[in-house]
Amino acid sequence: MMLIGVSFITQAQDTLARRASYIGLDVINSLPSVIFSKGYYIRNSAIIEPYYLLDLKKPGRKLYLGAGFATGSTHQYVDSDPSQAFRGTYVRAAYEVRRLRSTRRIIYGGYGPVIAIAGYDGKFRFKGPTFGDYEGRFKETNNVALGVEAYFGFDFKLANNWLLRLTFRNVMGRRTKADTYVQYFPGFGYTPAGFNNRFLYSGGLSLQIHYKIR
Amino acid sequence: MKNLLPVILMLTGMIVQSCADCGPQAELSATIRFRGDSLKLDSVYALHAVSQEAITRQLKDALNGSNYQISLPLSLTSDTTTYVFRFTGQTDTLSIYYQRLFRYKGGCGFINDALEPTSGSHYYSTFSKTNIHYGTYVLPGEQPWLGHDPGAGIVINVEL
Repeated sequence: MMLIGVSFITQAQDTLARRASYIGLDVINSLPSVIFSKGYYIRNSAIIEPYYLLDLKKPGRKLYLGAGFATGSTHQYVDSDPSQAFRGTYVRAAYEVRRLRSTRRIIYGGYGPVIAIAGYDGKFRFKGPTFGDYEGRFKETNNVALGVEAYFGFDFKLANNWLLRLTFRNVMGRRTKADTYVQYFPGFGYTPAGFNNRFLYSGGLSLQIHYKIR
Repeated sequence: MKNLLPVILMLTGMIVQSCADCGPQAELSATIRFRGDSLKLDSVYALHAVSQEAITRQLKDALNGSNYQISLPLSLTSDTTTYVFRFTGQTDTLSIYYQRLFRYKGGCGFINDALEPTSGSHYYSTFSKTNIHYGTYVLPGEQPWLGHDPGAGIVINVEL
């Protein structure tokens, strides 16, 4: 038994040694909310997404793991819904397939699950032209959403060990609890109104810098 | 005909489509019905109001005969709204008590309603006869997609 175990570990180490892995970071997600704080649907939001990429045994296949942290507020777009502050964390995993176009530019695609947990603190307002406005508050905590993400993109080899990743992604999911409609769900992005506030769908762009650690 | 079936199904689906009633989602108004006003209403003044415009606008519209009704805004910031009515040779006061409700409703967003107070008096009035009825401003359940009547809200009948 012991021998089998030891041989398995050494074998695993052998294959791991030959496989490359990267750590990456996406911080540009929050840039539009700071630059276009007047017109974009979220404002002054911090979105930080670290990634881990690992080559799988099968050639051209990768495991893609991502985490995320988002905090900020949505843009006022309805009078009665002046602000929604949000804070959330999420994790995603994906199985990735790549096609080599040239040695410098690589196209890839993948899909996998996303799990997000978020909290909200918002205001709502009723206009009272005769007696004055009323402003109320609402709060949601531990809001969980599950979903799937599909994406494709390009890898650009910058220099030794540095990789630039441009990803176009679509993510859809479902909130397990939806007491109020929220304009932005961390990990899922802009959420359409309707569908009982439970359905989340968003498309977006991500630019990441990766560093080869092995 | 076979090809028309899905189209017919879709159209029927759209017609029988129902939706939730959201109510006014704004400052609510109580309907005041005047019976046997032989004195003619001159002016109405709302206490603690920031603007009297919504009230004066209604008075400009002709108040014909001795039976008429006006719609008076209710405060969103207080559970009491008081109005002073000035007639030729007579002044009356009416305070309406209610319980404000703000909540989230699916398909609507945040909604507001005014309910009957759980305890205490329902009104203070110097009119000779006053009768108040609390109806909801937000209808419960599913409503037909087109042309359903809005919730009646608070209706007050007064006699001078």
